Amino acid sequence: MKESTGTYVLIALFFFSGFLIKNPFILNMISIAALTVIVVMGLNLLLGYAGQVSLGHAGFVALGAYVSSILSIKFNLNPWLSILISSLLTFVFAMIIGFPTLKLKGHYLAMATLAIGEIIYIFANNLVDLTGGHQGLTGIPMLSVGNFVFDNERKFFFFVWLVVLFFTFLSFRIVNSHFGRALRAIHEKELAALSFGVDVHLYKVVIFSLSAFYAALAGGLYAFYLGFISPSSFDLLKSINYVVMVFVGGIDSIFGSLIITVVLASLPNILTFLQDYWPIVNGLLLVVAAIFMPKGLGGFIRWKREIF
Amino acid sequence: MEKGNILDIDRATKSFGGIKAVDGVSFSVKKGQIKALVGPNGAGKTTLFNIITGLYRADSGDVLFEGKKLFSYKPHELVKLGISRTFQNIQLVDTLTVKENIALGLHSKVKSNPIYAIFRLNRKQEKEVFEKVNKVSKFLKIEEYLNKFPNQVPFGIKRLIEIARALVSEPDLLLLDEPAAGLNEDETEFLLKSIFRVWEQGISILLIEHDMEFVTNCSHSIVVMDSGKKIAEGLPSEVMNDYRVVKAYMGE
Ligand SMILES: Nc1ncnc2c1ncn2[C@@H]1O[C@H](COP(=O)(O)OP(=O)(O)OP(=O)(O)O)[C@@H](O)[C@H]1O
Ligand SMILES: [Mg+2]
Repeated sequence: MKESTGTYVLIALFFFSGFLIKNPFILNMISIAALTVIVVMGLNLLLGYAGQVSLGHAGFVALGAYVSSILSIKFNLNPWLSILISSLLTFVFAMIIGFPTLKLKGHYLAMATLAIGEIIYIFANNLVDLTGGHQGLTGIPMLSVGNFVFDNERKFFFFVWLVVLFFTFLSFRIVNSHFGRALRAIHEKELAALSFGVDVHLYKVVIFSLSAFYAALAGGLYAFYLGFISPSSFDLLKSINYVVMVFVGGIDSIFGSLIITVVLASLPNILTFLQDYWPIVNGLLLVVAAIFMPKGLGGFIRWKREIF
Repeated sequence: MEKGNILDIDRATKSFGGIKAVDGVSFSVKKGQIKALVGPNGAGKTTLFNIITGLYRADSGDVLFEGKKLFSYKPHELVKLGISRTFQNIQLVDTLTVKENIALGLHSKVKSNPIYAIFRLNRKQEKEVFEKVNKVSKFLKIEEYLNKFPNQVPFGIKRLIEIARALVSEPDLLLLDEPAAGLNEDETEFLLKSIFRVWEQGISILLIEHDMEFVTNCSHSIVVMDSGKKIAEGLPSEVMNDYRVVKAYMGE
């Protein structure tokens, strides 16, 4: 089976599970997990395919969430338009900071992206007039289409899985292309990629910005779904969670990212007694993944190759 | 009937810390020539290749390709100019199939960005790429490995895949860094033949090699380097007899 087929089947299963699950708590939990899936898929393009780490992706999620909320609350902009604008702005922002940042490699890149995430976090905390500071921002309107309002968990659940489907489709198209193959070459053999005509630095910036777009759009949807955001949803631990999800799900495995993200994003809500210790669990998972399954969960599956 | 030069290296110099890896080296490769670059370990041969291909920035000196100063180009622009290379330590991408690895050689011939990828706007070009990949792999007799991954093929084949990737863009100048290293006798012989067949297509070749015998069999002209310096240049027969070469090789 092709990886894309497997992934689409999995998404369909999640989508239709919305008809069976009665418990709004569980629907809500899986919806939030699905939003996380979008962030992790974007990060996987950057980290898994192009091999460039980002420890600041929660910052881009925050940008998407705050900018869209502020546009909608303070400027009365249509929520959909707000989300779109904030995602595009985040894309452009990532491109601008990406140009100098992605000249860095390895640990230096990790530190620089970590700093970017932290700076955004600090702004969210301190620009009290705009963001509400650590108290958070409330009164974000609900999403609606005409008279249809996404006012319960089930409606949003179905919607968010369609968005996941959309981003999965984008990811597969990107990965199984000339461009995607160049990303893999950059990941493994940067000098060879350079010698065969890949503008390595530009490609890194482009995929960094695109993955920031994924994150921002998920952030925007998150804000309008919950109606409330505060900085603690976008701290460093969140950024680290995303990276762990990419690694455990499998570097360069879109299927693995999907399934592991749903599991890891839901577990803390199920194993509530572990909630306070979750960073430890995450750390252990990362160590176990690094030792016993360096290619992540996705590495155990052999998919049929898709060329084009 | 003197032909022009395709490559002129003019006093190229590069140091790493205290070591002068390449020290004022000058020589030229004529159009349609097979030129060999020999010398003991650490002589600076690979460093010189990396200077030519822009992976290292030279401290001083110049490299001209068909009269154009190469240092004013970015490394990723050189394939378009008509220069391609192989690597001494094989640089194949393990997560790409052999076919896709070779296709990387044609990267700059296809428009490549996320929009093109998402809407598949370059389907036709991609098809042409893989047709060319098929052609070049027939030429090097590696068709049977096309759908395998690099870690599933024998070492000798990897060397040929590297060459295929460099050839598929139909370069004017091919740089081969120790293409015969690690090959057995049969493979070496096949490589030798292949190099001649490439040369017959009008491609100029600069190749690094350790094996003097291999070099005298296949090149029109030889440059010898030792400790970063050019110590001899000439016809294979001349260089072989040159006292200093013998000395460098004997490590006296
Ligand atoms: N990136 C680098 N950093 C530091 N020193 C380097 C670097 N690249 C090469 N050198 C040094 O430069 C000198 C020349 O190395 P180079 O690889 O060019 O030799 P070579 O002639 O290709 O040798 P070999 O036959 O072993 O491949 C060596 O002393 C090497 O240690
Ligand atoms: Mg060398």
